[in-house]
Amino acid sequence: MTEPIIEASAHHLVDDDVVIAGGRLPRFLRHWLVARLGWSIVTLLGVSILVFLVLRVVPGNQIDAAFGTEAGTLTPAQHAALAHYYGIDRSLWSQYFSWIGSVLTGNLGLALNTHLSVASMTGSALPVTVELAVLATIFGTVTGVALGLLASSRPNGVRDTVGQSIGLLALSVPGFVLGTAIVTIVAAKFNYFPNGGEYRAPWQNLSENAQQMLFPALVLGIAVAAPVMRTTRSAMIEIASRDFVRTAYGKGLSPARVLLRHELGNASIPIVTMVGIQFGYLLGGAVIVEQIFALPGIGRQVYQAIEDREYAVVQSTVLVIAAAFVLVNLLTDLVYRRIDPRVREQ
Amino acid sequence: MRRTRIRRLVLVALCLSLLASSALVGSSSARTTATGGTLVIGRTADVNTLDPQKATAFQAVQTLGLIYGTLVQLDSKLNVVPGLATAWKFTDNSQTLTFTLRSRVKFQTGAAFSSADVAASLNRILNPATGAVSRANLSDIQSISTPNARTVVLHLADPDVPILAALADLNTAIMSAADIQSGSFTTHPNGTGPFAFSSWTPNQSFKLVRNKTYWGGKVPLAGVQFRVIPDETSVVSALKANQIQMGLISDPVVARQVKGGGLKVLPQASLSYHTLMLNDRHAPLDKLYVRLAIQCAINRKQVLGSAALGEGQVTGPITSPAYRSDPNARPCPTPNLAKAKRFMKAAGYPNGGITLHTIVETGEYATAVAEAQSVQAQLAPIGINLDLQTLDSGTYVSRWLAADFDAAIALNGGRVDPDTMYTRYFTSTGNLNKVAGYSSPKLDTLFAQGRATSSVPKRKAIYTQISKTLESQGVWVWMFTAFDYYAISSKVQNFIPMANESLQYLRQTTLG
Repeated sequence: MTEPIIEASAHHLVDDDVVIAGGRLPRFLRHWLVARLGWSIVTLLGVSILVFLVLRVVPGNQIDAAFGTEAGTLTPAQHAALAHYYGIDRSLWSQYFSWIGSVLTGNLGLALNTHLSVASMTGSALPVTVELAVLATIFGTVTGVALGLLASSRPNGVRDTVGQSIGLLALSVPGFVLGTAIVTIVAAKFNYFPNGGEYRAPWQNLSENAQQMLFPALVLGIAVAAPVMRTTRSAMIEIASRDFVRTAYGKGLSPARVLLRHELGNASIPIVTMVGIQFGYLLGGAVIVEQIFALPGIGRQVYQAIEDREYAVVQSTVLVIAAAFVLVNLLTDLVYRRIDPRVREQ
Repeated sequence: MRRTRIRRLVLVALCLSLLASSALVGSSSARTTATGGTLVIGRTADVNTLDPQKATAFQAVQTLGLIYGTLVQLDSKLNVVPGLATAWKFTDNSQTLTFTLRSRVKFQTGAAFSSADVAASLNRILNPATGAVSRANLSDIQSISTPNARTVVLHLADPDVPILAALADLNTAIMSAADIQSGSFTTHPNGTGPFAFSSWTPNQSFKLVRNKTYWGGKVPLAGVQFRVIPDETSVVSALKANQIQMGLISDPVVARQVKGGGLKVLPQASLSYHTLMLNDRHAPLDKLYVRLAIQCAINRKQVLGSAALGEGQVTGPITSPAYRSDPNARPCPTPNLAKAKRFMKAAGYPNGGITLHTIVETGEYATAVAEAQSVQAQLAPIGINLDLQTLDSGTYVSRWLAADFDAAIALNGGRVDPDTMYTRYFTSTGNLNKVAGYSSPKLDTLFAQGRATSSVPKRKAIYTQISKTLESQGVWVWMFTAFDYYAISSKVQNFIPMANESLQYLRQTTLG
């Protein structure tokens, strides 16, 4: 039997939702999933307004970005024609509602310089980022949990010191340093740089895809492993001192069963929280790692679009990323419900 | 007992993690190598438009320059030579320019090329609705006539000799009249150049194939593929791993990493110049002596050394090969701090106390911040403080265009003809004069003379005078021209880099 632990952070979101959804609301709206979805829509709407406004506050516009300093050679008539083409001669209200209206009808917009649809660009970039995020998360979780178990098995002992030192090192070394070091050393010593080739999806060439994903997944995975390791360690140390663990040993259960089923089972709630957060961030695109390893992911798409002031591309892509983040949060909540019986009861 | 179990568990978990990693590696023998006659070129950014008349980014200009042709073109020494026109003649006091077009030229889609395509292309540039950047260089065209399929006549409002060099620029590319009508060029470029468009995967690769009907003869390469590798260090890594055969590099530090393994670097002096632009309409830069003090305090060689590892040349205003300025013909050819201090005193600032808000661009080229810091350190002794504002490219361009700066560390593009290079900056009606911050009746007269003169020696004398005026007035601080680096594998042969960064000699390049 799995014993509960008190981890407010693990289920406070669900509690909040119940409170918010309670009271005068109709019964069906009181269902946690409906409330959750409602708040997700509000969140996405907020994101859409925020990203729209931030882009307009940033100096420069599409004409300056497309022509660079040569924009100064355009006559007023040319400038006006281009402003009309890019749609920046309209009021902010008109621009926002025109864009959000298109998005609601399933049209994410068009990159005006390249004439490519944002949907097709995102369709090819998102799988790259998702694959990278999944691989990095798997690597980071397995490594992080393993190191966390190792460290917690003897608190303040040698293993703990070693485990914590590794965690601290992984947290301290920035991805761009590790990534650049790997690229430079491996290419210089072994003439090996799989990412110099054209990107291959797993269904095109699994072996090449695996080679192209290895180093970036490793770099990002190390960044994921560090917080997971620290979370695992602290959760395991706390749980090891609980009564139910002593009881389990007292009942004569094997150490492995106590560790896996009772200790790790209960520690999994904060670990899942941490992994969920990390995965969500990775879905936003690891811009620097994607730059170094030339992976055509969503991070690079947004970065390039910001450089080019391609408003529709930035806005719609960020909205897609936000939707993915919201979805991951929702899935994390579902996982809580699966692993924490108290949440189910609420 | 418990510890042993835990240790085993941890060991199993770590092994699983490593197994997952090694499964990712798969077979290392699957690494791709260069294919037959396709040259793979790595560069840090992608094409941002397929419209040749609106392309300003180097990547777009380089790529579309292989697809499209122009009436005239440049040879490796930047001399104007025949392109789609085999001959041309200025008549009527340089106010009429007649082109005889090449026969039997076809667009890559198979349609025949004629004078109608030239007229449609030039009219598209002149139409304000297009937003073509080269309109300013062609604004003297009053009308275009096409007496027959092989002849095009440009009727000019004023004598305009430099228009010929302007017509060698990709921004005056000749497009098919039918494509202009249909707008198909925005997704499928179609020109008369040595390579034809094949496919484009944004942020990844741009593929070209040999144009089998190219008027200049058989193109040796079966194709060219541009690959986007955003980091220059990674470009070098891809070159070492033989994933690409040519890498385009701008950072001299990275270029030094290319050595051994049959790789070499072709450095090419660029027409672009690194300068400290001064807004001479902002006090106290409106005082000549303050500007001259800055000229004398700056050690250009030192800036070149610290920012670009000494790889480049100290330059004067004009970098066009035929009209190049003498870098020693300036108030202080070598730095002279005592003289600079005397100028500060004469300007009424014996103790300095001047702060200049200076914009610096990051991200666009590697040396900007180092240049700014070097200049900042050199101006400190005469009491001028550079307040450096490092900005992303979009913000920098926006502030630059609005002339919202006292000084700007800039890398400005050079031109084959000094007229197209500086008329826009330093004539009172130039469309970048607000940014340049300086004009004078003397310069207006000299530039007008340059436009109306066809004799090269006479033009040379005029532009030498212009150069001298710009320097003696301390208008900007022209510092140096740097190198562009073409890192290539030994298989790449017959490639000639060009000062205007064109890759047109890929039309004769072979892969050994």
